[in-house]
Amino acid sequence: MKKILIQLTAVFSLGVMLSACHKAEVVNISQPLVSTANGIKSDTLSGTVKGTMLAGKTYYVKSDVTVNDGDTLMMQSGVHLIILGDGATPASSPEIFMHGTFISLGTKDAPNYITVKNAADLHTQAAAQNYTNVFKGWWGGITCTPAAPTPSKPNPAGGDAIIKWTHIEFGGAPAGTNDDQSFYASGDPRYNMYFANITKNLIIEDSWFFGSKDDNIRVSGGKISIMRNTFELCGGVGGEFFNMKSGTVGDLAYNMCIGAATNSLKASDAGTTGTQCNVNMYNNTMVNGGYRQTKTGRGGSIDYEKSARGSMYNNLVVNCRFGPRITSDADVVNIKYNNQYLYGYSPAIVAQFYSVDGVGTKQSGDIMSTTPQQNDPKFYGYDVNQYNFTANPGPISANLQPYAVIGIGTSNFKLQTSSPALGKGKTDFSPMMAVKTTGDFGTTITLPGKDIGAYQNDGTGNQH
Amino acid sequence: MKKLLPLLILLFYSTVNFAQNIALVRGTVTDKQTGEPMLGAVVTLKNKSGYSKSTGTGLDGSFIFKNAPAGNLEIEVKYVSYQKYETNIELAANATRFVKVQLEAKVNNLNDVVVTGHGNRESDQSARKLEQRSDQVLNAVSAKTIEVSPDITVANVTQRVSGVSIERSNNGEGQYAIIRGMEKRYTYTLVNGFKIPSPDNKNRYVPLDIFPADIIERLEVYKSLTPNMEGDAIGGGINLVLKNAPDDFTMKFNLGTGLSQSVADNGFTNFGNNDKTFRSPRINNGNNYNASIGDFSNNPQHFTNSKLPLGTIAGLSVGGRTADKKFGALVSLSYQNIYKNTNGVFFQTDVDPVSNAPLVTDIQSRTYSTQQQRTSAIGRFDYKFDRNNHVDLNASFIDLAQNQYRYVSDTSLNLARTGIGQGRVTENPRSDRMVQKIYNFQLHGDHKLADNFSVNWTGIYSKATANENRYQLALITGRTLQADGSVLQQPVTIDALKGQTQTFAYNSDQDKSGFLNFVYTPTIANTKVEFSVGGMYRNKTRNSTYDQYTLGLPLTQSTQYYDGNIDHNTFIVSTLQGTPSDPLNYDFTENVGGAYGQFKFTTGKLQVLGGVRYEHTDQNWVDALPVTQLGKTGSIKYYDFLPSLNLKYMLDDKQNIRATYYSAISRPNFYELIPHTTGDPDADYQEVGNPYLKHATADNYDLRYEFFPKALDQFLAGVFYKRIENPIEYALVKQSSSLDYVSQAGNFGTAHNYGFEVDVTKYVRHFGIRANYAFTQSKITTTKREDYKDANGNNTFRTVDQSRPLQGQSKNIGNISLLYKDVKSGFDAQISAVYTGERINSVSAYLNNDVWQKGFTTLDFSAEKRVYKNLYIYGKATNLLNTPYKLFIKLPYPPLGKPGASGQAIEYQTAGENTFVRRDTYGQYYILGLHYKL
Repeated sequence: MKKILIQLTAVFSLGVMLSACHKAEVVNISQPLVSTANGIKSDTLSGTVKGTMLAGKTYYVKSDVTVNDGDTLMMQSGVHLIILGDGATPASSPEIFMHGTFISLGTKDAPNYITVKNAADLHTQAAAQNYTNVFKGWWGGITCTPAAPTPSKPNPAGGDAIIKWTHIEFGGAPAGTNDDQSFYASGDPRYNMYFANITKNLIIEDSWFFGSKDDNIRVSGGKISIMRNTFELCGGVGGEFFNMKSGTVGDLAYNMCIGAATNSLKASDAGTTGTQCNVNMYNNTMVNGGYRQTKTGRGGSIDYEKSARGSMYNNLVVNCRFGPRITSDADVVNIKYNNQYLYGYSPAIVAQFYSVDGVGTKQSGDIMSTTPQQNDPKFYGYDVNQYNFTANPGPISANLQPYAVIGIGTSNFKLQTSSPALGKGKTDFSPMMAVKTTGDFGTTITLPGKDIGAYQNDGTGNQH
Repeated sequence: MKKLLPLLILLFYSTVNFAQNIALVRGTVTDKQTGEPMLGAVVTLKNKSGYSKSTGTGLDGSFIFKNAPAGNLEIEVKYVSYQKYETNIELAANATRFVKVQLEAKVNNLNDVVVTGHGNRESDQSARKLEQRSDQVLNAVSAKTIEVSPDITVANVTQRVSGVSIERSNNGEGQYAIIRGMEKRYTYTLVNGFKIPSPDNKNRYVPLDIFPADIIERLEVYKSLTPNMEGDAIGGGINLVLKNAPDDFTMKFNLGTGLSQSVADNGFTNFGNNDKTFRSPRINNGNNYNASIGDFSNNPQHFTNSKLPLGTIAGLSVGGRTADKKFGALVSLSYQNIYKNTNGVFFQTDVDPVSNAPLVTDIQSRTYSTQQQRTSAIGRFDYKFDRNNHVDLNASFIDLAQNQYRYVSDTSLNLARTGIGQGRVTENPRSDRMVQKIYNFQLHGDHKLADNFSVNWTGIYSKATANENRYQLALITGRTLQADGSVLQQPVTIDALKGQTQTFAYNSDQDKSGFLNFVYTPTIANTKVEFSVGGMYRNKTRNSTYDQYTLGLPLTQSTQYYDGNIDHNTFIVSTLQGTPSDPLNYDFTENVGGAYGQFKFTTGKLQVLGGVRYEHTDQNWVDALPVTQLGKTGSIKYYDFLPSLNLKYMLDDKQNIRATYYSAISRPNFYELIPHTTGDPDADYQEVGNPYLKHATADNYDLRYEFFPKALDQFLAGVFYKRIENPIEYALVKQSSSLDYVSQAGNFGTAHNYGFEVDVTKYVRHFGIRANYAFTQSKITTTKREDYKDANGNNTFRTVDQSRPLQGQSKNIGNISLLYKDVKSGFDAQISAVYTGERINSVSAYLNNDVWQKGFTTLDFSAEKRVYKNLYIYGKATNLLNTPYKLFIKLPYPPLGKPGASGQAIEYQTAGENTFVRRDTYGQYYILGLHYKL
């Protein structure tokens, strides 16, 4: 009888080894809710929208607005888009979630505005050297990213952003509920624009940016063409006008930059897209940058950092706390640079023409002196010696900076015919031209100019 | 021959020496009933002419009298609750006499309620017996072993068990057990055989450092499962058997004080209590509440230094039974207050975008001051109605309050780094107060309804909570190269954007569970076969809230110097409403239903235990994400049939061979399923959840040989193999929208884990040695990234498959303890060493860049001496070697490069040698105390 038990056991043992059974999970995870887009039927945009804002009209945004993957939101010329935000909380500071294509076609005569209701008042306060509200961050900016993947669209790529002759101002309210925490952790200041569509185009031409709390525009991947824009007064205590990360490829030229908290233009391959940050920066004018950055070891005009590559020619850098800076961990051998024009009011500025913690050195075509206040570039309407940088070497609070030093105001940064910067530019190189499209929905790239800086004596270059 | 010669001389000499003894009396003392050696029996040898000498029996029950006078001698042996033994012997001169003594227990005839099989459950003997007699593969550590060991928390005890290593927290205390190289998720923790919920936000099983060691009667480590046990233990289970009511009135008292060497060297940093709130302003006032600066306290950023705070260790347990022995009670109170410092250096690493070699980006100096207060109160009450029915109630409250100060100084190694001693520096003073509590009520009943039919049931309510508040200040300074070539020390200012960060996290985990088992033992084919069937159901609800507030600087005062007193600075609330949408605000429900059928019989020398278990899992959650994102709600259901078979072949009454198969699962942690994006501020990478994570399943095979030559001695040797489907590992992944890699739990195909273990315990009189060794090998293949420069000169990457061991698995783990025990003088001493071989600490996204923990040996010492009757003085010294925790990457540090670039010269790194990542030291810890037993 015992034998039987043992035999039974043996049979059972075999059975046991084979009988383990694991039922796969029945999983029901709520998918990202994609609401059907509404056309623009009233003057208030809300929820999920698509369509066209008609020329000359004013529209309002009271709460977060979403544009779905594949949809387009377009502004014809002369459109005012007023964001009704107070900057206090994420919910009361709307953001435009752009998973589709964004087009703003302002014109020279009828520019577009994406701003806040009290914009005029804020400009007045700025002009009176009172920046507390200017840097407050009133709304959440335009965030161009791929939509959350859904079963029907598993690999959304986002869309192009095409912005021409448009004012974008006063973004920077804290991120919250609806933000992707991977780049906007709750409470972080948002930017005027965030773009992370690596296969898509970001075209910004002839536009104006003013008064962001932190970075003005950040690009984490995309083909860019940033031409002839004006950047003023961005970053309360830090932040760049145009901050580029891994995956960003293209050109930035003829931009007028004044009063950046840190750099005007910064390229770094930080991130992990697998596409090296590779940007050409040429014929830009940068004035009085880098003084509000409270952290040490940052830049003040142009930075090439971590593994970034590209070229840097014909830039006019005036009284920036640090000149062009190529850090030792940049892709140094693949960075070409020459023909910069550097002016410094104080010995400290002159000493940092090529930032001493970088590896950049004076090139054959550079115009720079070891003596302060040499080589005045002779702007039409701006006295390069009007502010005492020796007494205020930075970091300083914004309220110690006169408006004329960090905003365009009544200044004019075109060059006089006697300017030593005329004709000193390098023209025998090509822009990267990462954006291939041309025309109304494409880019108009201005080729390298013979005069250093954003304004060409022949009237080309920056048109502002 | 040359080698033999000295040996021979030695042998010769000792023989001569031996011969010089006048006469020798040797012997052993054993229990008449069980044959077990009796440790600590008092043996007296005397004669009529006034000679009288006493000794105590050693660990193996032996005694020896040298130089005994010849003639008629009387031997007297006494042992508590045993009858006195007396005998006479005749000893010739120069002779050796061997005496075998068997003691008989005093019979208790007080009443007819049979109280059987107790013995001393806290003894080593009972632990060995348990290992021998158990139905499954297990190792046990007795309370006695724990008491004389250097360990004061349960976590540190587990590392003395073969095949077990521990994962330490950042103050060097063990926190979780790693059984056979299986990460902590694969091992569950039971109290008296039942699961309790975890206060740990990230783990479903309770951390072991919360339990003071002196509350347990026995620690059991299961390495195989039977069908009546819950099935989510692929690695095994740790069972804390709490002390039970003793038969006689017993009181134990323990008071000690402790001192940390690193605190003695550097002092200890304290911080103030939050005098405003322990929960976040949002939780206190509702989601729409806009916080003002008045809602936040500066106290946690007020730091003071204590020169030499002393630790406290105290315990009291009182227990006994009523005269009729029906009702028993034991109440244990325990309190520990420990201060420790940790000093560390850490390199943040990345990889070179061209060579894929390790690239250091930051060097951090970290100091921690950690105070841990453990308080526990445990009551056990049992009532025996009659010989067939009894119930017991176990009520426990366990509390761990931790105050941790951390200071990190981080120097950036790329930007603005132009030489050693330069760069951008961020400094973060941080205080963190965490209070973890567990309440546990277990009511258990056993009823024998007929001779061959019994039923037992258990109802459990338990709740674990954790409240963790963190207060961090962001400071900026630096030493930067100036234009004139000098290096300027920058003043310390407050980061205008980050300012202060105050984080309020709370979670609770509540279990309601019921168990019902029936045992039927018919006789089939002349063999008693035990059939059991049973079921269980557990309803678990876990709630978590999480808020982070940033107190930035006002724009008009964006440059503020920090002079060490935060009250001199001005802040404004930048995030008025906290982080209500953070997915760490969630409610999670898990219902697990289980049922099993099991049989057990012994035929001849073979014991067979087998059966199958069914477990059904039903999980639901709602979190605070907006509906526009993935995973606002989720539900997951699955079930598993988990068969198992345990064969034990008893070669003789001292040897077993066991063969075991069992199937098991591992459920993902709640924290891993919820699609969160924040959580652990100490994590090197941002952590995100994965709602599609599957449960892991495994087939486990064990073969073990056991030999118990004497009661305390043992020899165990075994091999094991585990095949794990969908093992869960953390990996760095790239999400579509994010810039950087994030750390996310995922399933990785099939892993294989195999190895062998040896465990030896041997006692010779006053000396004992315990040693064990485990060899474990595992393999898992994952996709890695390799950076390179392509033909066009652009930096890019390719993906490569790479195999590696499971995270946290050491190939070699060894333990050795040397013990000395002299009962007569009441002196005990023990020195223990643990070796944990190198293991993967964190898995890199990049090829060959995994971060390894260097193999290390820790050495601990403890001793105890009776000073008066039942009063003992004891001392413990742990981490004698001040063993550092070291992390490294198995790739050479690159050849010398420019400051700020790959291969730059820096302390701790040597070109061509493994890349240094981290080194923490904790210092020695000393404890001196008294304990008293009645």
